[in-house]
Amino acid sequence: MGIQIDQLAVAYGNTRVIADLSVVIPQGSFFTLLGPSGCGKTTLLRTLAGFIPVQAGRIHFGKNDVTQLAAHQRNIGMVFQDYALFPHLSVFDNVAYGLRARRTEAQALRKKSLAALERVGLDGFEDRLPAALSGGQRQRVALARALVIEPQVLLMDEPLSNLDAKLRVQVRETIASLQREAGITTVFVTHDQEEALALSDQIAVMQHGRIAQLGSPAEIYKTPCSGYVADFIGAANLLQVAAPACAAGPVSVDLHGMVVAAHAPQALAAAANALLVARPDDLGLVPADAVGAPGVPAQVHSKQYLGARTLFRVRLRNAPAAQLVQVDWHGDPPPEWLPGAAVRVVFDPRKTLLLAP
Amino acid sequence: MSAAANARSPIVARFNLAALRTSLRSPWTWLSLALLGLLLVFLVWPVFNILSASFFGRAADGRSGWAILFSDPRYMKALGNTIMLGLSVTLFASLIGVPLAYFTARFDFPGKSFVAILPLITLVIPEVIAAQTWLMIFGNNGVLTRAASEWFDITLPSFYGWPGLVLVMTFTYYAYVYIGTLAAVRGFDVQLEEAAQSLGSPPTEARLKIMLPVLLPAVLASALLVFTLVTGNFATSMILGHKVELLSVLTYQATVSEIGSSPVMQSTLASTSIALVMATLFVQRWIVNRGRYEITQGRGAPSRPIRGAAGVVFALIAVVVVALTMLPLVTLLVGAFTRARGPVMRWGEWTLANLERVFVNAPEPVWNTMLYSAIATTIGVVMATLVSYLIVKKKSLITPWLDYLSSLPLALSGTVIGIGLMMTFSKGWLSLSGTASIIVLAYVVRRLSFGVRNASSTLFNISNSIEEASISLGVPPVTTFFRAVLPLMIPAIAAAAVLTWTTTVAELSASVIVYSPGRETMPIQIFRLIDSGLMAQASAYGLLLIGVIVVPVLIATKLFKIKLFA
Repeated sequence: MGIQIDQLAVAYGNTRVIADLSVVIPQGSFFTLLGPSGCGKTTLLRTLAGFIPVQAGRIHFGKNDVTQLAAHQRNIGMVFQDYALFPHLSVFDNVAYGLRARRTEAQALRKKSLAALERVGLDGFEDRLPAALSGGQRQRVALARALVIEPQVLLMDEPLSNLDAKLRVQVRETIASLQREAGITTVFVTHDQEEALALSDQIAVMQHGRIAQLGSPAEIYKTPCSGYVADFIGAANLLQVAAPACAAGPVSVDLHGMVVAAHAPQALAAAANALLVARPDDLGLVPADAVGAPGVPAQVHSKQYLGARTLFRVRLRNAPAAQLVQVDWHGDPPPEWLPGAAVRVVFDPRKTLLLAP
Repeated sequence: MSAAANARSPIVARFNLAALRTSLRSPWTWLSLALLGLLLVFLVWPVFNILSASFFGRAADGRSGWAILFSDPRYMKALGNTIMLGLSVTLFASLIGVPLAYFTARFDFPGKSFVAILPLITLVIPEVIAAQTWLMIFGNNGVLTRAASEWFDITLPSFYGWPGLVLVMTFTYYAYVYIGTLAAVRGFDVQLEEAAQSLGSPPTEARLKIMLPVLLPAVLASALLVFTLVTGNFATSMILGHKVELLSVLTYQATVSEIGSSPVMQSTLASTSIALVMATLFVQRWIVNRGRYEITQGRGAPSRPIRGAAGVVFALIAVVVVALTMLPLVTLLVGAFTRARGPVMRWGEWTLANLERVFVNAPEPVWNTMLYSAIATTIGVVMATLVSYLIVKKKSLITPWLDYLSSLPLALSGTVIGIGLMMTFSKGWLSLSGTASIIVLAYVVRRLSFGVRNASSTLFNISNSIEEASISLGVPPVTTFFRAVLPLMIPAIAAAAVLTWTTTVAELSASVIVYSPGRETMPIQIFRLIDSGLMAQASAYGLLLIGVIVVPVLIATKLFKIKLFA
């Protein structure tokens, strides 16, 4: 069942948290709300769940208008950051809780609950209390509890953020495969861009209670629509430049007196503070005396060995002292590139984006 | 942005309507309103009656209560005495409680485990029994007084008046300072002390400059609590006050005495008591808000053993304090089995007659006590659970008022509560006087604040998402409360029930005002027997009363492992 949100507004008292937000989440898709804390993503999720009253606008689950429906009548599955397992109930009773509320007949209840536990790899744990489980196991119980009631939509509020890095990847995979299997419309809240990229069909990057950009992970990563989105998804160098009015397509920009070829995803009006966005991965380094002298002259500021790659911070010629550009070098860099060494930074004309301020 | 700003006002208006609609649909709104109504009728109305009678009531000679209060030297003297007594007891209680707490927290010494049971002992001994037993030792007919005059021909100074008041109240109340200080010392991060030392302060200086200022607010707060308890104290003041006029004694006399009772003065004096406690509580809150430092990382200091002479001295002091605290229990036990002829105790002659009288001739106070307390405990625990749930988890426009009103009894002494209920429910459409329900009501009102505070502290620790998880699984809010929240509150509710029981069975100051003949409880009966000088009989009731208190406490702590002082 898809979700349709029309002109939604939510406020706490007189503080507006979500303003005029509209989006359609297709049936069966994995939809992620991504953003820093305070951007309204959790509020939006809890509004969908029915825990926060709507100030204006409509929410539809499929054809049903649920805007005024109480939370317990919405038939949702919800997974919480702190697991929210009932500490006084066994693993089995936690999972069976929602089925009991639906007056499921005893035999079916037992069968469904055990099957749900098996799906998350926790068969044999049904008599334990939540306190006797590890964090990853608890979150998988919570997942089984949310899915066993066969909800119309699955809502997840930063379900991985209390887990350590390794478990996070494991549980992430469980979530992904269960979601695909059940084909259930899922709304997932996170501030972790890697999680968002790995799991989602669609990502909505949120800023100040609005959707800053909506798109597939690749679209969001490759063609961020603003410096905010570019900065939030993955590492990005944001360089302020004066840009002339231009149409969408290839464009030449003046960067500290050097001409750099870039790509404008949208038409731009002339601006003194447009942004030139390039990911460290998409930048290249060549020796200062390279043939044909491509790129922009620069000086190595620092060099960090990070295993598979080496991170260079370089200062472009004529750039202010504080403005450093990050460049990723894969493999072993030439040994003479030490701090102070002269190099040239090569911008990829298709992957270097010129964005409105 | 400007479009959004323009849209702001109509959106807010619509939101309020939507919020109102949502809240009217919620069962919690109706429950909040119902509880608010109960508090208004049974708490605010009585207090309002007291205050309004003090301003608008007129004595026989046409003067208002306040005019009499400020012109009659007797009342001003009583006010002065009350404050004086409060200050001295607070001082002495702190002098005992603070060092005792510091040494127990920081050092190991022989006999330390005795000190650990202090809070339990204070909980167990009803105040009326403490006063009684001290009287049995040092009173005109006391065992030591008589021994001194018979064997050594020494006349001990009279125990009545200031010496008895200060001594008994100090030993009744020092445990509050001890408990408050102990918690603060244990919560103090010893790394702060180490930091001061690493910066070059010698250990003693580090303690004076760092630890003392950090702990002081907590100590002062518990000391001020003692002050409010002393000013509201009824039993000790009545039994030992003698010629020292005190506010609570005059208030009681203005209410119940056959001659000299004065409806105007009873409410004026009660209002004075409210004002005194309110003022103290404001000072306390000011100190706490201003001076409570947040200690982010608590690593308590490990306690160091003291050996040699210093250890012996600490042990001796601790043992003396504990022994003096326990003294009432021992005296009571001996007294209950000692033969008596009228008021004269025949120490050394043993008998079962006293207990037999209690069980055979007059067991009614025992049954009354248990019946009233059982009902009050049930009602009180349900009220406390619901009120604290609404205050913590279902905040609305109404719940702050529930919060304020449920802490109002903190400013009311038992005597004041008794007077308020008498004035309000002795006639009219809701006449309760002469019934058992007014006693139960007095119990519930007196304990309300403590119950709500205890229950709230547990609720703060229960994550909101537990409840939301249940609702998201399709369980309606009210059922969710019973299935997901209440089971988690059970340990706290059980602790609250035990504490409510132990304090209501010992309740005297409010019930002694509202009770009617035939509805005496054990504390009332003991109080009357002490008044007639029948100490042996009083001891027998006292022993039973302590049994009624101790048995549930033991069952709760030993059998069910309930932590009473979480």
